[in-house]
Amino acid sequence: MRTESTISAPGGDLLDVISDWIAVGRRKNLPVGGDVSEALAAANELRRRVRAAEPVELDFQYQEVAADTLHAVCRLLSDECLELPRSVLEDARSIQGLLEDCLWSEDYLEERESLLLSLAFVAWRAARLLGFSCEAQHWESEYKKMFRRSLLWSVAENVWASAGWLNPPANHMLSRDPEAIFQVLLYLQDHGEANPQAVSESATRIYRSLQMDRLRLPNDLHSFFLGESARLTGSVLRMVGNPALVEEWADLAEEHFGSDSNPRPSLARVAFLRLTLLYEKSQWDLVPKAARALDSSFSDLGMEEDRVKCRILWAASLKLVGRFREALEVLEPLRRSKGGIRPGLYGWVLLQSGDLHQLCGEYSRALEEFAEADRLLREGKQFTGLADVNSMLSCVYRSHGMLSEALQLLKSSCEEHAQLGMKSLEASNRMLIAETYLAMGRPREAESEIRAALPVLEEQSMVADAVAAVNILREAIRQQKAGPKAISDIRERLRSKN
Amino acid sequence: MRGKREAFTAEALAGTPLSSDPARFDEFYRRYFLPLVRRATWKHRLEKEDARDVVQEAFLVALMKLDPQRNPKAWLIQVVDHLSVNFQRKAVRRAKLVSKWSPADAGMASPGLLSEEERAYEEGIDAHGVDY
Repeated sequence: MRTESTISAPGGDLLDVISDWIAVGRRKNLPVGGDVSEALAAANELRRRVRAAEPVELDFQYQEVAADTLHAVCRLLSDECLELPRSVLEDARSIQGLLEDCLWSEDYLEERESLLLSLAFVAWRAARLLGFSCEAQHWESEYKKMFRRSLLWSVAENVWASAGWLNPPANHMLSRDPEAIFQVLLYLQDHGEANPQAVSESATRIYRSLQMDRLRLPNDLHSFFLGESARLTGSVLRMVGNPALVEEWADLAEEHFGSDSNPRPSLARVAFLRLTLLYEKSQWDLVPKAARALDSSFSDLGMEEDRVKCRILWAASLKLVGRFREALEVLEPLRRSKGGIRPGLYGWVLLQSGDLHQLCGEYSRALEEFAEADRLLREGKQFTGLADVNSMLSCVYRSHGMLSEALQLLKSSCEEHAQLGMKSLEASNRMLIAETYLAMGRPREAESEIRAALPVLEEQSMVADAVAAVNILREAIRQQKAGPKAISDIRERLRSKN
Repeated sequence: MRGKREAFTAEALAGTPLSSDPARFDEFYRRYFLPLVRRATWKHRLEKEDARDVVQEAFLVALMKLDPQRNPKAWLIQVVDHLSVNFQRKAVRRAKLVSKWSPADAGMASPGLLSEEERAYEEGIDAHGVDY
C-alpha cells in the first residue's frame, strides 16, 4: 500500500502542487481515463453478471476503470428509473452491496461515497415509483446518514456560505440534477434550526423555481420536490412565528403530495407540521391524541427520525398541560434507543427530559441532561434548541432563589431567540425576565420587558400569554404604586385584536 | 477491462517544476484530476475532453481564489460543478445560435435567440458571476 504523502489538504500544500500542475498540465494532453461508451458497455455487462449471480470482475485495484463503470451504472439506472423501476431497484440494491463491500484506496475526493449516494438516490426513487413506502424510507434514511458525513455535505455548506441557493448560477446547477435538489433540501432541512430566516428564503426560492418549471424534472420527482420545498418553507416559517403563512404552505405541500407517486410518508410529515402549528397556537391539549396516531403511522412507514420528532412534540405538549410523568414516559423509548438517533436530534430529547425533571423537582438530573443537551445541540448546530437550554436552565436557578444567575441566562436566551428571528419565543422570554425582575423587586424593569413583549404577543395571537403578560404588568404597576390606566389601555388593545 | 494506466514518466515531465518528483505529479493526477474529470463527465454529462478543460480551469480558479482555511476538497468539487454547469449552459446557447443562423432556418428565425424569461435568467447568471 502506498504511504500517505505529499499532497494533503488543507490548502497551502495543495496550492503549491496545483501551481506546478498547471505549469505541466497546460503543455500536456493529459489522459482522461476510459471512454464513456466503453464504460456504459461495461456497466451493462456488470448488471447482467450481478443479476445472473455470476462472479463480478470489477477490479478495484484499478479503480480508474472501476469508477468509470460504476458511474456508468448510476447513469443507466437513473435513465431507466421511470420506465423500469423494478429492475432498477434490484440492480441498485445489488450494486450498492457490492460497492459497500469493496475497499477503495486513496479515495481523496470520496468518489465511492458519491457513488453510494447516487445508488441510494436511484433506489429511493424506484421504490417510490413502485409504491414501496417502507423501502423508500429506508433508502431516504440511508441517504441522509451517508450524506451528512460525506464530503458532499461540506460542498453544500460551501455553496450555502458563499451565496446560498438564491443566486441564479446555483439555481441553474439544480436544474440539471434531481439528486442535487434532493441534497439541497436535506441540507436546508438540517440547517433550519441554525438559521430559520435564511432557510425559509432559500426554500421559497426553490419552490418558485420548481413552480415556474425552471428546474426541469421528471414527473415523479417534480410534485415531490414541490411538496417538499413547500413543507420545508412552512416548517421554518413556524420557527420564526408566522402561523397564517405556515397554514398556506402546509396546504400547498398537501396539494402537491396529493398527486405524488408515493404520498403517504410525505402527507404524514405535513400532518406533523400541522401538529406543530397547534402547539405554537397553545392548543397543547389537542396535540397528544393526534401525536399518538401519527407516531404509529411513522412507525409503520419506518420513518424513525420523524417518529423521534413527533414524540418530542408530544412530550412537550403533555408538559405544558401539566402531565409531566406521562411526558417522561413518551420520551422513554427514545432514551432507550439513543444510539440510533442523530446526536443533534437527541439533544432535543434531553432538552425536554431535562425540563420535565426540573419541573418534577429532580434538579440534579435536570442539570445533567441540560449540560448534555447543550453539548449535542451545539455540535449539531441546533441553535434554536440551544437558545432554549438557557431559558429552561434559568428555571432551575429560579427554583433555588438564584435570581441574578437566572436573569443572565434568560437575557442570553432572549438575545439568541431574537437573532434567530424567533419572535414568539423572544416574547415568552421577556415575560420570564419580567417575572424575575418582579421577584427581585425591580418592577420598573419588569414593566419595560412586558411592554416590549406585548406587540409580539398581539401579532402572534398568543392569547394565553397575553393574559399572563397583563397580569405581570398589573403586578409591576402595583409595586410601583402607579395608576391602573396603563393596564386597562393594554387590555383594551388586546381585546380588540383577539 | 483495461489495465492500470502507466505512471507519468520522468521524460514527460522534463523541464517542468515537477520533473524532480514525477510521483507527486502522478499522485495528484490520481487523487484529484481524474476523480474531478469523472465527476464533470458523469454527473454533468460532459464529454471527457470538455471535462478535462473544465477541471484545468478549476485549478486555475483555485490558484486565484482558493482560501486555505476552507475545506479545499469540497471547494474544488464545488468549482468543478459550477464550471461544468456553465459549460453546458454556454453549449446550449451556442447551439441555439447555430440553429438560428443555419442556412435552412435563416429565413424563419424567431426575433430572439431566447425567450424573454430565458434571457432574463441568462443575464442574471452573467451579471451575478460566481462567488466561491
